[in-house]
Amino acid sequence: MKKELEPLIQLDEIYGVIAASTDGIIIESATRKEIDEETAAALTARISKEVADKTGIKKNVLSIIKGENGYLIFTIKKDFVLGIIGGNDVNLGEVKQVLRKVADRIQGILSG
Amino acid sequence: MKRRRDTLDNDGLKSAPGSIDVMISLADLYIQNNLLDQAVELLSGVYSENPDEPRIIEKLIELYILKGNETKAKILLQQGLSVDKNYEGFQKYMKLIEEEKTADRIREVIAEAVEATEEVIPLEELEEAKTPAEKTAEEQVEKVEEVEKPLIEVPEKEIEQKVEEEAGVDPIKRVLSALYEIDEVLGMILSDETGLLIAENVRVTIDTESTGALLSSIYTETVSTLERLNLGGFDYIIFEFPRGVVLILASPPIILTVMCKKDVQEGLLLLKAKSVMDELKNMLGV
Repeated sequence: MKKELEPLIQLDEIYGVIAASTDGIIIESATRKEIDEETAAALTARISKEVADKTGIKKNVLSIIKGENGYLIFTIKKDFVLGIIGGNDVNLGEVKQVLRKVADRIQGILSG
Repeated sequence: MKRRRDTLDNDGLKSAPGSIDVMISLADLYIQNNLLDQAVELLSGVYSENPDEPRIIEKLIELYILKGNETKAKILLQQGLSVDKNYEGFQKYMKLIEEEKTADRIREVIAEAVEATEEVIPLEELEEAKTPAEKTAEEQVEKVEEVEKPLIEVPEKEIEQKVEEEAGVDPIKRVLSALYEIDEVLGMILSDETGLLIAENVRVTIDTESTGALLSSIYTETVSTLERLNLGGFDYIIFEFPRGVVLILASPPIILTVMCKKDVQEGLLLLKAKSVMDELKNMLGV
């Protein structure tokens, strides 16, 4: 599974990649900077749940959240959430494309 | 709104001080555009959640005076004085009412003096004695005097905005509608941080009040997450749903949500929305 995250963690300005269950338990992660992965997984899952609960759309949602110091980008799939934390200079178009591909592959693995 | 109520305690339902400012600014805009009913509706909602907020009570008093409903204005003034008897705004209206009473008393005194005059000339005789020019001049004076002078005068600079209102244009909706230059945009909702609807401009049938509240709830969750992940203050969110895109921009205390079709160019959307947000901030003074 770790190998699946490599295309994402290798992108410029990506600090960390986390795949977590929808209840916030880490499935796999890879980091280039010091990141509290458990907290990141829990928070990403929490926002995902909030989005799913409030909109009624529980899968195939991609969220780009921009803070002053960087991005939290994640996609909500049926069984998990895949997210990245990156700096202000990430290439959004590239990240979105790779994130979707990696998420589809992980979904394939989990669906097995 | 209901979901917000589920997740917040009673104190959480109260609007933040910044939100009160926004609501008052918005009410001022409505007043400037003579949309008094909309202003009353807006502030009544805020008042029901913030019954002890002097600024809201003061603005409602102003509105009821403008609407000519002095009874309601006086009831609200009593309510306001019970909240804060030293509040400057309430003192101002107390003075106005007192002055009005004095004027009434003066009118009564004059009337009594006229009745007491021994030699009363019949009105018909006076009319006959006037020249045609005098009659015309007096008619004109009467017409001018018939125009009731409002307690609160609207400054001349607002005439231009009033003209726009007469053309059926809400100033906030007009700013929001700039986003329709992007074909894929379906609508916009402007709300405050607590989810209260400030304005909406939508081309689709949705419950804008609930949608604004739900999205502001997601925004609140996101703000705390960004802080905990050391990503700094909130800038924006883009949600790509299977059938559409939603952008949330915030500049506390206002939140702008833009709903679009799936194939919108997100970069263009973001640039345009930021420009609209800047204009709204200037307009609302936040």
